[in-house]
Amino acid sequence: MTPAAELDYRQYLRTDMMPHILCPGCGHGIVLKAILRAVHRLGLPRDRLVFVSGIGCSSRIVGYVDFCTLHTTHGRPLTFATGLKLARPELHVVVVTGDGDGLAIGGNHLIHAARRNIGLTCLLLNNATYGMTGGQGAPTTPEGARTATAPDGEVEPAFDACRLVAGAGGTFVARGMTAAPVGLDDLIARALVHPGFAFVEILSDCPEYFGRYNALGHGPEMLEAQRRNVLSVDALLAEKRFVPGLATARGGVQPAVALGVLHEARRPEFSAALAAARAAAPPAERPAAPPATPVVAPAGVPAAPAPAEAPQCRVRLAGAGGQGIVLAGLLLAEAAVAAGRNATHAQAYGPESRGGASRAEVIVSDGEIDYPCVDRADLLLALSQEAYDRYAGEVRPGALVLVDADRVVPRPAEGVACHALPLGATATRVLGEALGANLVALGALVALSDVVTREALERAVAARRPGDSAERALLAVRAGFELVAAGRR
Amino acid sequence: MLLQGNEACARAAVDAGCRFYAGYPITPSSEIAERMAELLPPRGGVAVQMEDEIASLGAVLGASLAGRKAMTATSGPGFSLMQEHVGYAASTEIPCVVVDVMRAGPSTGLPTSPAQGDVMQARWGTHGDHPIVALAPASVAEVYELTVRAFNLAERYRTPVVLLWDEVIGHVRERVMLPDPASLALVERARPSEAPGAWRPYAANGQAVPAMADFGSGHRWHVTGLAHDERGYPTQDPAVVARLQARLHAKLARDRADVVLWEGVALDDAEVVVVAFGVSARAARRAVGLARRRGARVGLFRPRTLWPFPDREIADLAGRARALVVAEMNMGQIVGEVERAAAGRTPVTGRFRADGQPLAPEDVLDALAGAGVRGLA
Ligand code: SF4
Repeated sequence: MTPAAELDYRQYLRTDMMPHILCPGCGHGIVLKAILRAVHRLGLPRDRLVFVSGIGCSSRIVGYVDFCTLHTTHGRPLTFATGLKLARPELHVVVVTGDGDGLAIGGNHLIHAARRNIGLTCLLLNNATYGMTGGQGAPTTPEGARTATAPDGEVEPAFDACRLVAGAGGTFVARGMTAAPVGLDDLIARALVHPGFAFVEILSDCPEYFGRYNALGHGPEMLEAQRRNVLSVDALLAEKRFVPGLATARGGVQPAVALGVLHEARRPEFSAALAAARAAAPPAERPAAPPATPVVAPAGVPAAPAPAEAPQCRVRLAGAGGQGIVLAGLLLAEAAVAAGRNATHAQAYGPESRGGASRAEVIVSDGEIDYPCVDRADLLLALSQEAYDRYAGEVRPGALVLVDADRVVPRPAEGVACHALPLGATATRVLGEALGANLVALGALVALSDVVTREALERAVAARRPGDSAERALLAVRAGFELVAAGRR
Repeated sequence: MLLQGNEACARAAVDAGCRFYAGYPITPSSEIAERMAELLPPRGGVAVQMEDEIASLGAVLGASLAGRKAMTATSGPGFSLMQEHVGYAASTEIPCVVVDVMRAGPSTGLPTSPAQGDVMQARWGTHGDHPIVALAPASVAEVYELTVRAFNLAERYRTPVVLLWDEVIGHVRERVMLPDPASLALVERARPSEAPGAWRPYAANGQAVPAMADFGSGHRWHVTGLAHDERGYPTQDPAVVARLQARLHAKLARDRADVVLWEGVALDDAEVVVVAFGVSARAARRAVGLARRRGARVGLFRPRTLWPFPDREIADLAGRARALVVAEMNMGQIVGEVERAAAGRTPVTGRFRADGQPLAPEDVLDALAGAGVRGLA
């Protein structure tokens, strides 16, 4: 007697969930027993075993085993399994999926699980059809086979799941079949101990639909056909054009299927690789705990009085993407906050990463800032003609407008003080490049308006070190102060 | 400290005990993924970029079952993809937090522009009847506060909690004082007190929410999106299914004040009340302040919880106010809820904006004038 024959499967089963839903002759029950024999042989601790499945007949078998079991959505078991494994790498996570679940709707997840080499065992039960929904065509249905949705025979070529997974980077790829159940134990056991993404395609049968539609007989006949159609065992990966019994019956292609371990490789498992990357990284600085101040009042707040308006200075900075508009806005807001005032900073940008229009909006106040967007500005900086044309009209009476004299031709406007200064040219003179025009402009804007003090701005610039050099940035900002002072002289 | 809304979310998540993040890049939410990738590994957490948003929420649910507090963040198109798993989480009662930083839709829409068009998606995006919580902060400080709250609600009620804010709130930087994380009141899901053999995973034992065991902890149980009995086994028994549905729907109603949050501004004597959330409420706040200074008796009701909708509070206002004005950045979503709650006791009008621009205080003033408020010009 083999140890397998002595095994009482009931110790691993939720017998109170039985009878099971599988049809007589279905191959999936053979797979379930092979899984349990492999688990038993390895002596895996059952509290550490998690079975995850998707939707379909094959996916239902996880419900019957007495481990932690997770019956997920159609095609997605690998995504849940990835989260489980990353959260608790000590778990043995086994995914049971079908050919529709794992290769059609869930095909992308299979590719990426293999690519990451996440330490899971993925068992794909391939019966070449959708059993649960009534025998429709699957990505593994061989050409010529009849299905509920291809009554004239399937015309699409079938997927080779093993080649797919090997190509995507899976580190253990094997194929077994229900007609060779003892060999299946070995393959599953090897997959269970493999430290990485282990994939076993298991050829199973659906006599209820696939067998009936293609006149392949019942369970025993289909099993017999599997045996006849083995091309090789542990051979190199063979093209899969395999339907049990079908190809010969139609006098077409010689049936051919390779069984055994088809591909094996070693590379770091994903959660281990993440841990190693962390170990190699410099230790993180933990910021000192800030004082314990509740951020806002909790729960339903009763009727509060209407806010009194504190004076606000609304600043709009506008130009082209890449001109450092957002950074200039940030520096201004940081200068205000560091000086104990309130400020908000909002930005608007187009979908492109570079170029296009760019805009930053900063509001400085000594009170609450109710609305964080600038509708009409008190201060406008325009570093491009386009920005000027767009926003020159959206200013408040008495507004101050600053433009780069070399790029913008302003129009005279009633009640608006417009200053055209050589911002880019000054940046080129001081820094040797026009790139610092945003900082020159910021210096000039602060000198003209006193929206924050010059000292506060200098401190904010020194703290942030834009362009990785506080000295150069301060040179540019001070050149902006100077431009205004020179104009006044 | 000057902090961006999306950054505040990441800070709050780790402070609330989140130790797993899975996401897929999408504007205007990507800063959350980037900050989580920085913040989680040094704290023993994991941040992973998945192949799509379906996978992201799947991984989050797997991690949550393993006992971690877990979150994902996205925007409208990604939220569309996540919907099946939102329903799965609601049915199986797996705690999770899903952030949707709303951009203008439909479809790809205006990827960098703000909108508030996903309110109904948050409620009804997944198929079937299901309970859901959605919170809508209106400032950076409140993003922090409600993100912490979202984890607490997810854990306490074993439900998906959606955080909805628009691109402006996601990207605006505001001055905030963050609390000492050690001072936060945090909630952990109830874990079973029974021995593994005696525990029935979905038996609530008189409570609204059953205890939940971490996968791998010794309690072996079955989780399925099929209708299930107290053992977690699939069932088609109408009585059992009806009981499950009833409990799922009742669990958020038990402690309504814990879930339904709101703020009122100048409501006491308000004749006309603006109802607005998120950045629209900021515009409304400005408008209400301006109108009050001009002598108009107006107020603001700001839902901080969108789902379950604060309908009792609206009903109460409808009994007192002469008119309700709903201002939102979509073609009219919460206005329907307000009308339903007002039930004809007072007229409800809407001011909608769906052009990718934030609603402005002028829009609200205009709407107030339309509702008969005088002297605003
Ligand atoms: S339909 Fe086919 S695959 Fe499904 S249980 Fe029946 S025989 Fe098995």
